[in-house]
Amino acid sequence: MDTSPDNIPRWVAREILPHEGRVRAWLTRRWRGAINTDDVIQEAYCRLSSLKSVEHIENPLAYFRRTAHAAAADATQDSKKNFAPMTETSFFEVWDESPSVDRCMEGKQELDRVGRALSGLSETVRRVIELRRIEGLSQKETARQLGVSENVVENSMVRGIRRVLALMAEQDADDEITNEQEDARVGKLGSV
Amino acid sequence: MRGLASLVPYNPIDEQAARWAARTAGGDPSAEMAAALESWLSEDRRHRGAYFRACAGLAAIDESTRNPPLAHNAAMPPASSNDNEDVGIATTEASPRRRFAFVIGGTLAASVALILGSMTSSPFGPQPGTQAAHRLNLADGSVATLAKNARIEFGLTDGTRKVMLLNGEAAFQVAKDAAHPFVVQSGDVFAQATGTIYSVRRVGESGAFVRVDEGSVLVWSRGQKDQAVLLRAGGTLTLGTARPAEMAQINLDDVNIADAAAQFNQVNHTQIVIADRAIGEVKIIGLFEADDPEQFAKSAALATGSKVEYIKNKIVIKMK
Repeated sequence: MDTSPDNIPRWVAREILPHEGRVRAWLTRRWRGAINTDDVIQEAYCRLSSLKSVEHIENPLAYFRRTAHAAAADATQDSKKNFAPMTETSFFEVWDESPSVDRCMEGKQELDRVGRALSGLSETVRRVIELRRIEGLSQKETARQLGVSENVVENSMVRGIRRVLALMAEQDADDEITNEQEDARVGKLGSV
Repeated sequence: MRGLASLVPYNPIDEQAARWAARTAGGDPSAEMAAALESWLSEDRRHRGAYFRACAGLAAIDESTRNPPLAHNAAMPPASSNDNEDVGIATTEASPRRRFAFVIGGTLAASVALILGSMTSSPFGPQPGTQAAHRLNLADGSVATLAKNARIEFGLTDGTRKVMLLNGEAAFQVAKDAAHPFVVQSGDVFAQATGTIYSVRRVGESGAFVRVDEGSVLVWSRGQKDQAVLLRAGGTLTLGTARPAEMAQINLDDVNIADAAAQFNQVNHTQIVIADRAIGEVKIIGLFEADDPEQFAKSAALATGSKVEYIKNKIVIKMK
């Protein structure tokens, strides 16, 4: 795997983003009001951003969990909230560190998910992404080619990025739903 | 309970980060931009994290765009099907079977994504020129074809060939004269060409519907030329009516179809009914004419792979 610094965003896209929803849901559930989940996630990414190389990371999911956990712990200390952090044991009970078969299949499904998220966007957004990212046109060139303002081009990219990130933040949260909630959810779907 | 809204509330930092990622997407940002980005990043560690995350999102988009998924979930329309070439941008290739539509509103115009319903036939009546119409030779050599009940005034002012469309619909075959832009004004809407064929129809008190048959036309609303839209052959655009902008359009940004339908139902006699709850839970993005629930319903149906049925004053969106 190419893990040169230029490819770190790509590595994050493949190995970290897909797990964000799961980590987010866990943070929210475990730390309740003690942390701001958004802040902690952003801090966790900030810590990842200082990585010079990712070759040493064998289990990206576990690495992301620990990073988020550390960020959450620091956040509670920073805010001096009277919050007893979990013991290491209880932390590791939450997670099964070995990637399951399901998880291994995820990489491929991931692309499909992103593709579907993008296909749900307007033609405008899709055309902008195509011109910007595949044909490598500048914002200005893209605007001219499509006959729209640069603003529209920029906003289209923003929308594409936000859509994909929202998808990543959301998905896999299901894993964190307790059995009780799961039952309730099935009941609801059944009544549709 | 597990929708986007509940788990991922709107976060201004994420929005800004996505914007920075979009701006720097092409690599090699200008020195000024790089400095501005660095300054924003150094304000807050969360900025740095959010930007890093947004860049990863961009990388995910790249990977997906370069390796498009082969199979699509049935709930989403395939991205490349011809029937779904329905949306918002006037492309350079003109196809007579395609109908493009733009809905642009005021200062919001530049900041919205456009999702419009698929239109297989023009809802705007027969093309001018195909019906008995009145041909007018204008003083500059251009030809105006007026539909019944259309009224125009023509004049040369400030180096501009200016047509005021007072009523109805007119098509223009514009004599080439780059030095004197040819501008059709319908109420508060302006459509400018140098040499082209296009038609303008009066909409409401001060709006216009513009269709371009050949060449390209610049269209804008009064006082907003900086946000003009370049409409190319095959493109159509309806701009501005007398209603205030906030009434005229419904801007949906990740809104449940059910909630969006409720918005339309509040302002329209024709009611949208969502027959299946699963449809109502799907999020949708787009800018719609508030008084055109049908267009919204079609887009919603398209986005969810469902269908639209009409029953008296109701538009029903239901599973296929």
